[in-house]
Amino acid sequence: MYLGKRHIWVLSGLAILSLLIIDSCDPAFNPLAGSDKYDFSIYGYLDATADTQWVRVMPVRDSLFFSPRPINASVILKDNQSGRRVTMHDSLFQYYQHRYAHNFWTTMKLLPDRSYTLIAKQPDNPAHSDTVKVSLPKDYPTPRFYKKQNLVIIDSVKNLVDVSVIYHYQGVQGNSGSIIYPHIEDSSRSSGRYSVNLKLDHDLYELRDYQITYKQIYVAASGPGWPDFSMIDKRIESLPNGISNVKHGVGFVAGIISKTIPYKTCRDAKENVVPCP
Amino acid sequence: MQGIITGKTTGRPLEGANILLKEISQKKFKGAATDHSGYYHISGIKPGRYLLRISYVGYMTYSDTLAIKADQSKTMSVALKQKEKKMNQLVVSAHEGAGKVEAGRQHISSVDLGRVPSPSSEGDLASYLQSLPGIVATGDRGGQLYIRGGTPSQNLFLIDGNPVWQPFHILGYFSAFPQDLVSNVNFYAGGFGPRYSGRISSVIDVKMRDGNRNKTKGSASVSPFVWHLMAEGPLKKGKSSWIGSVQHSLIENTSPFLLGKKEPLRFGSQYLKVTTFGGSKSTCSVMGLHTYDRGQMDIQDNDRVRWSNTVVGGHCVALSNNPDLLFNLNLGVSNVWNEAGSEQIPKRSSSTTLGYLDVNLTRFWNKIRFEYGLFVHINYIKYDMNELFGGPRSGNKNLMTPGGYLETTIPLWEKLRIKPGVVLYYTDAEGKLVYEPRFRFNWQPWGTEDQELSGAIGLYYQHLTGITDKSGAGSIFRAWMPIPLKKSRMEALHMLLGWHQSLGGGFQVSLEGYYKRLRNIPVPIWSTTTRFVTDLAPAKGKIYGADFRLEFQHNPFYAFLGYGYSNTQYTTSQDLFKTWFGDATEHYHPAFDRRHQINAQFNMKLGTYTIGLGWEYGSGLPYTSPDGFDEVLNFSQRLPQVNKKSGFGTSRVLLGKLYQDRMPAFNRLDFSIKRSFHLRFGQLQIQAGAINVYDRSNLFYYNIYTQRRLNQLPIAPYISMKIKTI
Repeated sequence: MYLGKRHIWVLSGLAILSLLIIDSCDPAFNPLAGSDKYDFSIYGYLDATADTQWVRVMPVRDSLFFSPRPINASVILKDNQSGRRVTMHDSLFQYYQHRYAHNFWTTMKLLPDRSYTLIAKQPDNPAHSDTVKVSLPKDYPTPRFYKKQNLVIIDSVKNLVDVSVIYHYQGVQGNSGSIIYPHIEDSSRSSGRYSVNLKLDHDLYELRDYQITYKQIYVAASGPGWPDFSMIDKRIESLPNGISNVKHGVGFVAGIISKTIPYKTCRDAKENVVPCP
Repeated sequence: MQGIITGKTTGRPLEGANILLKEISQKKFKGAATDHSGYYHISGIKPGRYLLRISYVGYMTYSDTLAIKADQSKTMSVALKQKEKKMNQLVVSAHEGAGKVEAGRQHISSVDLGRVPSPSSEGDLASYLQSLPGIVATGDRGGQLYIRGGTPSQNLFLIDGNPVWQPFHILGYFSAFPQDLVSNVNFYAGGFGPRYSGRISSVIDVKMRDGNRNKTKGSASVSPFVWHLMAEGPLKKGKSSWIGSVQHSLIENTSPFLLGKKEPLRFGSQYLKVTTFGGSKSTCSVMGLHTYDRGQMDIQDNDRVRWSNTVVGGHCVALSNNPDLLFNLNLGVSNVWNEAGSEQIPKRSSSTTLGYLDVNLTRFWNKIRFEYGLFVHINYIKYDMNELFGGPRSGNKNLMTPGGYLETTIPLWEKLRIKPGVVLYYTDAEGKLVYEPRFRFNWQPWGTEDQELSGAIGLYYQHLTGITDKSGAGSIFRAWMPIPLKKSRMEALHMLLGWHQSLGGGFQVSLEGYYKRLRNIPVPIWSTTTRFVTDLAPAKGKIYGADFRLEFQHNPFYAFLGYGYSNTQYTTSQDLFKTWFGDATEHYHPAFDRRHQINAQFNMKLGTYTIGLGWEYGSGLPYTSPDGFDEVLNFSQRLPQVNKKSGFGTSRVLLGKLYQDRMPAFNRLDFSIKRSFHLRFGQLQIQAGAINVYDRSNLFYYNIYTQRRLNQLPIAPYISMKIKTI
């Protein structure tokens, strides 16, 4: 086989050219293109005893939310019995540097033992609409507190979802505030009654440098559909549909009735422990 | 009659040398070819006078007359003298080249390594392996090779018989095996025999060159990527030699100028080998290797990865006459150390030390070859995962594995050779005896090497695993640990069948199909919030595919075309899947499952110039696409107050089904042109070229949490220079 230098150059040139022609363009890569599985992420709770209802509504988006931007969402709260609807107000919150979220609020009065529907939708695209049906529990008696035993008694509650101690403090420089420690793990249920044996050692150790002015106990009970978190794996909790009750979206909205009582024992004339007014 | 055939200057064993014994009074022949140790054995020789001819491509043929008496055992070891090479002459052998594969095995010579354009003055095993079908390198960073669906921690690397854990450097073109140091490589992409154990995917058995025992020589090279010094010479002329090498990266310093941004990658390796040649009957060597790698995959991420290998080992080969026996011994210690995290706070670390003693014997009974041996491997493993939550956080363990193996080569009807064998060992990890049967064969239907059907089937177990980041192919931190599952071993069944055909005119072609069944492969447990997960679940797997190779060698051309098809599927059941996807069991293609791959090489000599082209195409790798992002709020402790400072939540990626999407295809063209100049004292070689000539933005890694994409290197033009004494 004999190949002249000219042939060799031609062959080499053709080889290079064919490789260049095959594919030298940069392909587009957009991992989120076309993903519209979820519309909104909705978190929070509706509380029949609160003056204002706050709910987090954020679009399920194509990135983390590092700077404020319009979210193209309108949120409606509807009373399922009366059919009354109110549009909730949008409020942009900054939590830390570059950490933002939109919370929606309304002062609409909610009633115990009623169901409500939260509707989040894109105003310019009604097909993208998420709903959450929230049922509020029946009202229940104000809890009683036995200070000597650090014991809270809560009657007529099906799902106890929050027991916290609120510590109000006064700082040395005149500043004041409150710190909340959860104590749901101190609760137990028997004969339809919740007993919460508050263990405050950890709280008090952490707050040893604070001047505590007064304490309160916060209790909340939810309506039906409350997940049993003691039985749910943490990883399942974080799954998109792990505990979600948002239709077409992700998140969880609870319906609750909360009570806040002073950290003290109140007694009636016969020295029986009674709910504090 | 037995012996070892070596190269005279280097002392390196010549694999595939032909030994022909012709009876002078008659026209009868007997012949044999040397194995990977340069060892041959001819039995059943009748008494008489014989003409002996030993030939090997590129070497002067050795001829002698011998008188063989009855019941005599004769050792005839010969050191062949290399032919004087004309400048830039390409020396090829039928046993070399990427076009020939025999039951998963490819013999790679140092000449092969030099054919692949590499951004330095010489070839490297890392660059070369990536040019073969069936081998997936996830990018030009990381030094990770996935061989026929196996993961990097399932590959066994041996350097003169001594195991080395992670010899490929963080910049994927380089390894501890530059062309100047390598004698030859036995590369098994699967189906390997019982001499090798402890890994379930592949074996890369590198024989390093011995130093020149007659003359002191050296070379120095520099390119924008790396500098390399190598020296060798006799300790006692003709009796012993040394060879040493130092290699260090420059890319960290040159990248701002060369690539337009800093590439925080640093690596280096140091190597020393001393060899004594005990006449024609024995060779012993001691070697030491140290490598160091450090780098950040993503410059915006503070996390960096470091690893280091240290190997100190000895190797002896000796021939015995009574009985005829080839004795082969390896003894040494090999350590790897891994660390990931920020400079101040390392998050994860792992250290593994292996002490080993391997004794291998080869002897013949009539025409049947027996290879057998004993080994003791002791592993000391230490790991520490400083994670928020996860499975095995930290620990240390000793694992002892004493065992032995036997492989026989039985010739049947001259054309068929079968190689049944078994490896048997006791392992601390299971507390019992384990055996792995293996079988290889090759059939030459027309009695020549021009056509060959070969195949293998075998069972493979592995008791150590390398745990990597779940985000997959872009992650390079690897923690070695005992398999933290109910069953303490990974299992693979290999089956492969291939055909090799020489087409004449310098063409050869091979086609090999393979199937692997995997069991108990540890895979990460998936969740939406963690990034490095050490909780593991077992997966089953099946891998099937085929490699096609076409090679053309005819001066002044060399061309190679390879196509690899591969399909890797894992099946795993995890608690979360039921809630997440509706089914507790998921089938998925892991992050390294490249379906199609095309590799092309082209080399041409034009006078004093050598032109090299390398082109690679790989179809897109799987990844898990996110369905979106949000902040998840926790209700389990207390109700979240969204309107309070504490009510922000935890950022979450809403992941879709595992690895359902594929990244864009990979495509790269490399080019080089080299010229040699003869100097009074040696040779100067100047090479110019570029990697990624297209300047294509090939995706290396996409971080779904930060949505940052990291591309492979852009066009990188380079000029390199090498001076060597002769």
